[in-house]
Amino acid sequence: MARAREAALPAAGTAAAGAAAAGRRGREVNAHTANAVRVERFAKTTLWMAAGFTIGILVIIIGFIIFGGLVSVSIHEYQVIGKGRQEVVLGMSESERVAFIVNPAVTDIRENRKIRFVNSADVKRMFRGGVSNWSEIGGYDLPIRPVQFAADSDITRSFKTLVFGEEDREKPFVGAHTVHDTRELELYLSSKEGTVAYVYYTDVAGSEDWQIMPVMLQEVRPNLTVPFLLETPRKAGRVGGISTIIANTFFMILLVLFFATPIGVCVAIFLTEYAKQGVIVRIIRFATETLAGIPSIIFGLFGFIFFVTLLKLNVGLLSGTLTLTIMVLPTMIRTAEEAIKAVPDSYREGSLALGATKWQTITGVVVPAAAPGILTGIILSIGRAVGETAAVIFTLGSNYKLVDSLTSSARVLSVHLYMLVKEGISFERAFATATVLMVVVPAVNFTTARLISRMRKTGEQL
Amino acid sequence: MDNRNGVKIRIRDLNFYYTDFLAVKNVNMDIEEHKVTAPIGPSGCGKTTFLKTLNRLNDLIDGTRVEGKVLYEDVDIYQDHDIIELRKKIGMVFQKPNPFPMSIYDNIAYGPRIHGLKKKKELDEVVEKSLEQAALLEEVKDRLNKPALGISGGQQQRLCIARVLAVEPDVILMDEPTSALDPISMARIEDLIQELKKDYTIVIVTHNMQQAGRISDSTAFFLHGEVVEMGLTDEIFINPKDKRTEDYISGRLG
Repeated sequence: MARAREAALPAAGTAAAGAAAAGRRGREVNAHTANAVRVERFAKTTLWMAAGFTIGILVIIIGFIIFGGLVSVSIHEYQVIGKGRQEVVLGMSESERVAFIVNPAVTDIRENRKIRFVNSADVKRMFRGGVSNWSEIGGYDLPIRPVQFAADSDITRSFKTLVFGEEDREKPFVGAHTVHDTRELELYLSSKEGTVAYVYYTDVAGSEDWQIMPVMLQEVRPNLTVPFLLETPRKAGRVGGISTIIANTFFMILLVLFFATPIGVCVAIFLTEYAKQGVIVRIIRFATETLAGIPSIIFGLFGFIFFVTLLKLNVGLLSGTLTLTIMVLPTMIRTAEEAIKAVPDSYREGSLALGATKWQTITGVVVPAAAPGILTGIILSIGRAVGETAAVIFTLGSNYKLVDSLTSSARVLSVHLYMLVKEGISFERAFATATVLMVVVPAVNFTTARLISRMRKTGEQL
Repeated sequence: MDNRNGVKIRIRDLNFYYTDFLAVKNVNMDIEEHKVTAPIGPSGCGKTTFLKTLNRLNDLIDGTRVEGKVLYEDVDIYQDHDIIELRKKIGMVFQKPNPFPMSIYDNIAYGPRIHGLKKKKELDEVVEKSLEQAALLEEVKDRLNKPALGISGGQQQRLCIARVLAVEPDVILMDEPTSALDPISMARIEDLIQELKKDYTIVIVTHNMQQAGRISDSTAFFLHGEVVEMGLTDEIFINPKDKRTEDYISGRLG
């Protein structure tokens, strides 16, 4: 027994030493793997952050544009008097301007509080009984006393339109003292502290006795509406919608595709089916790659000099679409070529073995089989063409009316947006146009992508 | 001439070059009509190249050269024959079924259409007749307008046969038509070939010796581009004259 144990001991000793060595090796290996694992985790986090960043930017851009497009938030300051600052409400004549006046005590500084202006929401509540003391809206303790003119008087109607808009114009004011003319108003206003009233601005202007208080009107209005899309623009886009601009853009797309698709497909067919791999092919490829890299403004310049001036095509639909055609041609050729190359040779062999000529084979089998890929090229071209401003602005023109001939000027969405901003016409409409642009292109992509996948499914079911 | 067992294609001293490489050497052969001739041999022996010289499909490849004569109905196809007409008369079925990405109907109508047939009624007739001859009509008659790629491999190959039949050929060349198919589909096509030979002449390249033994009337054994031995299938298989033939058939070669 002991002997066995003795015999076992050296074995155990070496085993222990072995175990220790193995443990050391194990620890080294562990340290190494632990480090690798740490690096992996770090890399993973970085990758996630990069992805998140990209998504974040996309969300921000889209959200910004669409929010600005769908909704216009405007803050109008009404009737700010004093040192000449005035805001004219669109459509209202000077004589209709209504001022919001208060008893001078309202604007005193007491208890370290001063009211400089009121919100239109507060004004609404004042006349509907929702707020009864100035302290509730930031002033000191002083009751609010609304004063009204007769409910059917013009001034009351104007006031209601301005402040209440469409809602409840018929509902009467609550808790307001009625006066019948400005004389009566003047007496009442100066006698009672905390009084508020409305009166025509022309009655008040220049007078020292009347205290006019600015009303901040915050309007959240829908910006991009269906009527906006369907209405024709007037006064260079200042008023109205963008219907003709959308139509012009649509015609532009059609024409560009009409020119670019046949040329692109033909060049692609030539490159893949007919040309011998050599100098010609290399020249064409070089030309295509270079064209693809030229900045679009240069296309605009070229288009202007060549189509507009030299060929005397005028700034209009033809010049613009021809310029755009040249611009999208490289994309068209590239995608069509890839699509045609991807068609298996077995189709060509099968067709030729039936007695078809090469051209019959190309038109009867190859190009139809390449159709999904060619359609992709078309989508990409549409996207590029619709987004172009620089190449288009000198060649397509800026006439916002519906284009009526091939040589007449036509404003498209991108140019419209540019002009709205550049000439300071309307930021809201610019946002609305941007939203339309941002929706149109993905919409086209989406429908065509669905079409492509359906074509693919019927073509490659095995 | 209504010669029941005349010769459809005469091949005389055929040499075929892929640029400098001699792939088919000095082939002399008579392809009899209404018979099944089977070139057999190991991979790379030139039998497919040989087959493709018969309908000039090798012309598609750059740098190929043909010496010798291939006489179809006594006209040298490399000299005087119109290629389009030739390929109408000598059709081909490929190893992997290659129906076009269109409907079954359009696949079969493709040939007649490019040769000028436009009228719908006539096309309908041709499609129906071809599908019936290819023993496929029953299975697809209710879905002629569905994609051809949606049917099984065996059915696709029969579709390709129907497609060839639609242009009314004399000769049907088949390049290992069943090698990509399951045994049952293979058997069906073999039966079909036996039927078809009553009206057409068939040349079928196969590396499946048993298949050659089953369906062919004449066999030509190719090795390194040459015809080592050719004759009636029964004789070749039972009584091969050349040792190399015997080795291949008994499985020692290839």
